[in-house]
Amino acid sequence: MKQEWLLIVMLFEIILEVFMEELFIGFVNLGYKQIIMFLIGGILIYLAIKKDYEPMLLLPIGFGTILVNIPLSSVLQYEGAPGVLQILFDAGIKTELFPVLIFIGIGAMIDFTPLFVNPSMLFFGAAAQFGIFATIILVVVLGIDDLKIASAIGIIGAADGPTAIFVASKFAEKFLGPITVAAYSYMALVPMVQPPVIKALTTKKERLIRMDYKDVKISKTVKVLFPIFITIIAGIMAPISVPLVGLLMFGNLIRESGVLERLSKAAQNELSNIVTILLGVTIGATMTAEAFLQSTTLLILLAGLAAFVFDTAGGVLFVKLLNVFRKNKINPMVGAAGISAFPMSSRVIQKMATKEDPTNFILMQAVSANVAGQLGSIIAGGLILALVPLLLG
Amino acid sequence: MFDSLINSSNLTKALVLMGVGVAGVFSVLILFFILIKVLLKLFPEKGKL
Repeated sequence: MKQEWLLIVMLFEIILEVFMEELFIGFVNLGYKQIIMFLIGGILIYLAIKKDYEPMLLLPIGFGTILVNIPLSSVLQYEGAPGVLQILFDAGIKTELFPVLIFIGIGAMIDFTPLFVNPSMLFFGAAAQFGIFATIILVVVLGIDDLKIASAIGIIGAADGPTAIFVASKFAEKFLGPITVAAYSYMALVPMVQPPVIKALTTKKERLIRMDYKDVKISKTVKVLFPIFITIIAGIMAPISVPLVGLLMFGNLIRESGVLERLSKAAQNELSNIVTILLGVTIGATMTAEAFLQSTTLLILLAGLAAFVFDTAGGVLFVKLLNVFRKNKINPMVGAAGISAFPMSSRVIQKMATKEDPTNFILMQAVSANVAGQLGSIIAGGLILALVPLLLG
Repeated sequence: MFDSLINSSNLTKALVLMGVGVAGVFSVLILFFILIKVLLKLFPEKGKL
């Protein structure tokens, strides 16, 4: 009887030992770096929920960050085979499928009418891309000795998430996480980043400039032909930009054709939403402690801020330069709306104009510049993808 | 086209990238501007709002 009891106790001890080992195996492998990453994931989720900072992306990225940093987590790898997030990464990011699919949705959401009414605003969309290139120089000066990585960091200045992801996945895959987080965070922070820069570069008199707006009807033929011709022109000028521009314009053609209402709505809603969920959580999966907790991450975050400041300055200063030669002055604040953060930037500009003079409305001009910025950022991304390999030989 | 720059410093390459990049973006958007003007001229909507 005593021997039987001894056997039961021994058996119980073995079960307990195995169970405890399995139970605490995660704790044993938990380091301070993982805890920091949990906090970073938590901060991203907090910013998404409480502050409403780009919640569509920051919440999935934040949760993905937590998922991937759980010790021995099987989301990236399980018994030598790729885990679910690794499969999504290989299928959607490495192949550039997710950002490109997002572009179909964005294209279906964009209404180019304000740009047709004010086509000269296109130039502000070009000027505000200055930040991308200025940031590349800044990053090189600060010690990044790889032009591809510097360019991937500079593209944060495109103020366009999918373009940043597209370029970063080609040029700096290991920094995809921080680059994406910086791009989306600063897009959400446009109301805080742009006003001080604009105020520093303009006088009150300049901010009070009024601009005429004529609402002109645009024919359907123009709206249908525009995306087709843009694809051809951009494709010939920078063939590497075809996936970006082409699918953006495909989405827009679906919208403007008038015969694909269901597809247009699907692209704007179901397609965009599904890809956004997968894109966000997969980007989060790149934010492992080893990849994220580096001095380069801090540099990326600071350079991202600098990119938005340079973009804003580029747009404002370009308008000021034009005003030297123009009789009908343009409000320089409109130049700052030439970044791609749509519609956030144009709203910020109108808010600033209203603050200076409650009867001054420059929203439509700012929207035109903002839409132009969306085109400009994609073209800039395509040019960087084409030029950097040529420069590196 | 950039063969002579292959052995130059990254800063030089970044400066060239800026010059060509900004000029490139402006060139493409100028073409878009011309396209819009031509399309509006060829296919005007009759009434104004």
